[in-house]
Amino acid sequence: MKEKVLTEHFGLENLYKIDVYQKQGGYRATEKALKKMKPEEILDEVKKANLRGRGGAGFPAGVKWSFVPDTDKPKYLCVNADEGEPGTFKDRYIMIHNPHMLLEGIIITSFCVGIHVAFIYIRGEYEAIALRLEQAISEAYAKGFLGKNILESGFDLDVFVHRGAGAYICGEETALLESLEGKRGNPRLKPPFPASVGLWQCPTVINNVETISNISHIILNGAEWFVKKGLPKDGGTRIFSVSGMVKNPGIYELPLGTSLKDIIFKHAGGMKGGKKLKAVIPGGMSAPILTADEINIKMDFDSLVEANSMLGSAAIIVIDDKTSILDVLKVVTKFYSHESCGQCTPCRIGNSWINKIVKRIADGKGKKEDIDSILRLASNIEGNTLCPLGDAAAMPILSITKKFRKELESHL
Amino acid sequence: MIKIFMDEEPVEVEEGTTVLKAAERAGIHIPHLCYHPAFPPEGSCRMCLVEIEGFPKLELACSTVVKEDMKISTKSARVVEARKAVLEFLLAEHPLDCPICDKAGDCKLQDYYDEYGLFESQFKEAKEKREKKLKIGKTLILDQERCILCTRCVRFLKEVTKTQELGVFHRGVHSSVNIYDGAAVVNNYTGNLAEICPVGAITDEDFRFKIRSWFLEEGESICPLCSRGCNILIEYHPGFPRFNVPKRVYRIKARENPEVNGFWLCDRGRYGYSYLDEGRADQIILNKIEGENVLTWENISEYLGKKIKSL
Repeated sequence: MKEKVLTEHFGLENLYKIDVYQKQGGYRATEKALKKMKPEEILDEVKKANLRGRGGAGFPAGVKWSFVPDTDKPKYLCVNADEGEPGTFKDRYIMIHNPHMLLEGIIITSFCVGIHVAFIYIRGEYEAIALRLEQAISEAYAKGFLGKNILESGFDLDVFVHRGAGAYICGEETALLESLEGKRGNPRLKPPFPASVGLWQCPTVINNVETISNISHIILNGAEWFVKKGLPKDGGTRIFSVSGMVKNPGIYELPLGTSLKDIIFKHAGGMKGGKKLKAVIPGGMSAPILTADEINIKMDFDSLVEANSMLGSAAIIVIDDKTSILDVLKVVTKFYSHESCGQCTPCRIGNSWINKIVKRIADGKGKKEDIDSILRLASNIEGNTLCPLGDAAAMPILSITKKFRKELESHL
Repeated sequence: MIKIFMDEEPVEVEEGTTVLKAAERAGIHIPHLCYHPAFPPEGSCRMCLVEIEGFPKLELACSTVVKEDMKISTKSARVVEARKAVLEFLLAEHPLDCPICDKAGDCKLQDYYDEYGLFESQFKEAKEKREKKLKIGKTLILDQERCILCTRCVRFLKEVTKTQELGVFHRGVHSSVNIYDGAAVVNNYTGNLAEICPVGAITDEDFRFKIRSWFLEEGESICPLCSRGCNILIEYHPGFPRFNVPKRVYRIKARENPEVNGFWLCDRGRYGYSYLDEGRADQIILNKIEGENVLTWENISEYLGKKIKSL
């Protein structure tokens, strides 16, 4: 059984062109879905595959689609290609190497949910990738995979690429919708959830690039095959973005449930320059940090929740013993303070306040009570904000401060 | 009607009511800053968080709709803590210039700190510097440092006047309300902005620094300046003309009446009250006195005393 799913053909010359992609079996899934399957059958298959969202929250994709109500209003699909979570660089690989795999996922998803307009919201910095997507889209139109009456199935779909303007918050699904509507990217109050009230107040499905890219493989090979690739409750593989002090940083597509230790020491070649492992951020910067003693852990949603961390976007940031944890905390607090949209009180002022304290400690003006202040402020942010950015900031700050308290105190 | 439990007391409310409105009906005040009954819930100030049984997180009272048998706590330790935390965050970047703030005595932030805060400040860092005296309209002054970003003003101009002269600029702690490229707030409803601002961020030059709000009393009335009949509140100095204050009426405010004017009042009605004090007899004039024929409130008692004794 082949190991890789999404990255299998990466590296193949001109894979991004539709002819090469089709030679590898591309668009067969689209044909199967549109010609031989009913939307309900597709939904059933995706549900059975236990495909959980790859953006960070891990919400089952099929369940999300089933929340879309049956209305006369137009429905939309937004593919979240904002990829703002620090440490994450998997979606860009998918889009640059294999944009048609994403398009296939978009076509099948749209067909399943009854969507006729789809958007790819891509972060502004990915200019070249946006161009590549545009090329792929025009190729797909030319071959009749997009546009009116796709493959004579009577199904119409248009896909648009929309570039963001560089705000982390626009990766949050409702802020993404606001931004796509041309407004300031502030998150919306939930409920209502986008599945019922989304883009232009219409039902909207929002999925991450990697999530959507899995769809064609599920359709082609079946849910059972997909579940076997990962775990019963958490199907498929995951693309891990490994960065930091490892010999071979990069993306690694591995089954869900692969141990963190193996990813760092086997797949990524171990520590760079014989350095010692100090800590790992296992799921993008928002995920609570793990110490070197905690890396004997399976990388899947549930195992990491048990370890009081999270799989998030599966971005593994490896920190060595020469790196000061105060520097890590400084980067973390500066980032969230800078990226808070400013809409709700705890996130806007809390993150800036914590950042000011950490900067002061780094300037050598730390006070004894500062560590407790950081902990108190971060717990006052956690759970009390309008959108998940507050939690995303509080979780790493709390875990870093608690687990490395002694080292931080040595700076006071 | 459905039954819910508000701080363990059973309350009957209509289906579809929010927790905040249900609480108000039960006589429980849930503090809130960004919520205004004229607009849909915004949920940004986080002041109205309450605990609801079965929900892992604290929920917003302004946007959560009640359900049968919902058990809501507005006074639990978690709620009290969260309120304090929000106040602490708001006050951390607030200039705390109440003594020179025109809104003092009339300010929700001040009231809430008094009722739900009363902690010592732990904020030892430098506060953000912003514009303190921006003229944003004919009579409106914006102090960005006092602003708590409830965005009531922005939403008023977006949803009521639909003129959208104000916006939120920048991000995070640098977020601030401002006008676009120096283009002032120009419409016939600008005075409402100072009225709905819960803090001292937007003040009105028509009222600013003329008198402290706690010296005033208010009376209900109807605006006589056009045929619409908007419901108003007249804020006046009860001691005029006996006390040494220049006028009687200091401010006209809108009084809620959903069938006539909603929550709002036009600028003509709000600022056109000067006739109330003009040309009125505010002095005691005695025609039959020899010599000086104007008496003041200070020497009238002497004059009257003499008159009475002479009887």
